[in-house]
Amino acid sequence: MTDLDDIIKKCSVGDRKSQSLLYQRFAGKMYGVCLRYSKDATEAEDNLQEGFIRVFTKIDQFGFKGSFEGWMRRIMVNTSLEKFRKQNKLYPVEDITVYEGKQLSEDLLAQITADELLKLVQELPARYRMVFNLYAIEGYSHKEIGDMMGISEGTSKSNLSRARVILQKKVYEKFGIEKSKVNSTIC
Amino acid sequence: MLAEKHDIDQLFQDRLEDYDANPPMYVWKNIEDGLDNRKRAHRLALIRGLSIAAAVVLAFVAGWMFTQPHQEQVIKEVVVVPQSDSGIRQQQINSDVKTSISQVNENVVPVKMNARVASVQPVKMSNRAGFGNDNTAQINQSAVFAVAERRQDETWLKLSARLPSKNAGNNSGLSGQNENWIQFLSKYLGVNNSDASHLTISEQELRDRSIIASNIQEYAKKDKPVKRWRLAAEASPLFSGVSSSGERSDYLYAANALSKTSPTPSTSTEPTLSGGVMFGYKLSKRLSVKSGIVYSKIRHNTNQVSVFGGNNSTYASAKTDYGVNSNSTAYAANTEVGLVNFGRPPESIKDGAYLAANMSNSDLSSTTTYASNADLKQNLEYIEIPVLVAYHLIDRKVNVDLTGGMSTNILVGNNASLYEGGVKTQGGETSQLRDLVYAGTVGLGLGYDLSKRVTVTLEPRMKYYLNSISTSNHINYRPYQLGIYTGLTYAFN
Repeated sequence: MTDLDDIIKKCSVGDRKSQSLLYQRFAGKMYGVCLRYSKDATEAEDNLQEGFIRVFTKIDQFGFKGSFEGWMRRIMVNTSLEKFRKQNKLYPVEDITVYEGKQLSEDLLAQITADELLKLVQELPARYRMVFNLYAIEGYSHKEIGDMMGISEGTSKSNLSRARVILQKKVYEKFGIEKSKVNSTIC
Repeated sequence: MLAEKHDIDQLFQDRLEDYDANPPMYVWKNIEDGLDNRKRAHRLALIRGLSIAAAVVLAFVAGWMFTQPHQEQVIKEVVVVPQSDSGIRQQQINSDVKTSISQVNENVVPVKMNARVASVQPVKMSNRAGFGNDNTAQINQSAVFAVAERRQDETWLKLSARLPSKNAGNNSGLSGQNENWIQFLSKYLGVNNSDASHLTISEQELRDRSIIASNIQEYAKKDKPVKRWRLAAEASPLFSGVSSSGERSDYLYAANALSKTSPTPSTSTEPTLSGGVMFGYKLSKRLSVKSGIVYSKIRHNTNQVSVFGGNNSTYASAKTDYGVNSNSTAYAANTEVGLVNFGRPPESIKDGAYLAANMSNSDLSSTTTYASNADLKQNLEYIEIPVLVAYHLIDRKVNVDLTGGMSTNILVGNNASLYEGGVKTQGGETSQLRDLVYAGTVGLGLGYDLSKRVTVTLEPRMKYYLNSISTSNHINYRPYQLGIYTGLTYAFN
């Protein structure tokens, strides 16, 4: 990735051509991240734009330790979270609910496309969408999520549960899968 | 926390973790614009920061220079050459002072220095009979001053300690100090020890030196920075009166609102507010000049002005009536200050019903319609530029100044309003007002020094208009005004 290092270095001095190259290389993936955290494409574009400006202005802070893509992704996630926090200042405190999870069939999984799943995620209420993305896809712990979003660990868990319930329901409704292979799982 | 990864989580993670989509083209364009804007904003912030820093530095430097006492660059070199004179019974000191003067600030240095200064006042004293004519010591004051200047601190201390004081004018005890004096000379005036060893000092010289020393002391006392510039902000209620008024007998011009109607109108003036900024320059210990910009206002009221509506052609053609004729919608009224034109009828008279209901004036009923009486308020606003001379009667913690001078008053505001039974008609204007009016001012100022620079002041000032504020030959309106100005003064060097 020496060429990437070179591009990063040039970006850090504001070289517009290198910035363009960097954008071309990562825009798709980062847009994917932003789409997951947004309710629609417009919001995702805004976050992508703001995230990239942040990447370019803070690129000198990237110490070439670890993955550059991971660093960018964190910036995109943080940008999305900040936007969310600005728009949603209050969070209801909810109890942790126990719910019934359902195992999806392999046939079903094969039928669902990524775009369809993305749409389901985007349809989630914002706070559920954030927590689900952070926990299920990004892999953060509830404690980390609590810190990032300024909510309690319990609220994070609760939001995740709700998100799962909603997603599960929608998956079944949308794809008409029989409720076979039911497994109870406690979060 | 999870005992096992939930299948829903897994599903979404698998499909969406590396989800990739092409953003619209315009996103990159927006990013570029955003980056450019940031750059511009940074540049602007930098420029603004630098500007502020430069302004602060400039203000600091200017303030520092402004508040510094005037620097004296006087003498670069002083050479004192002792000379012997065979005709004199004792070895005399004849100091030939060669001075090289780079620049003399005459405002501060109390003595004009020439290459040879024998006639400056303190040294003159050594030229009195029995002193100067016999070649007694002529220690040039300039030389001593120059040395004192060069070695200001330590020299001055040593001078004070070693030199005979002014009070030690008698001879007793002075001889013992000769050695000190010689040492002083040798050390500070460039006379070497071998020369100094055979110097002896006459009594007269000692007297001279004691005088010189006292002069130096005096000089040191005077060497205080003089705060010459003053900036003041002041405000006052302003009480006006009129010394002479319009010719009341002249019906057509100044009198109709005063004498020909019933009830007879009365006039009065109302207190107004005045305020402004003054700056002063101290010419000497006692004298200052002051100038500035002061706002003042005259409010002249004419009460019981009749308001007519009708077709009296005499009044209409003379344009001096206080009524509204049928051919015109304009309303005019005469006052002591001049004819006030409104350019429109009073608000109340515009209503025909009101007119009809108030037809009561028997004398003029055939040609006019009487409406009512009203109060007419004329406001004349001036910007005053005074030039005043202040004499400091008392210059202590509490200062007392006597002020006098002239002022030019520029007419900046001219409006009038008619108040008629609670209905106000605005937009009136007094005609034939002079744009520039001159006034004389006298005042007595009291000042209390809050600090070395800040003084709180209280100054009653009386202003009398020297010419009529109207250009009309029939009107001679010269008001006088009393203001009790309070303010703060800040002194600069």
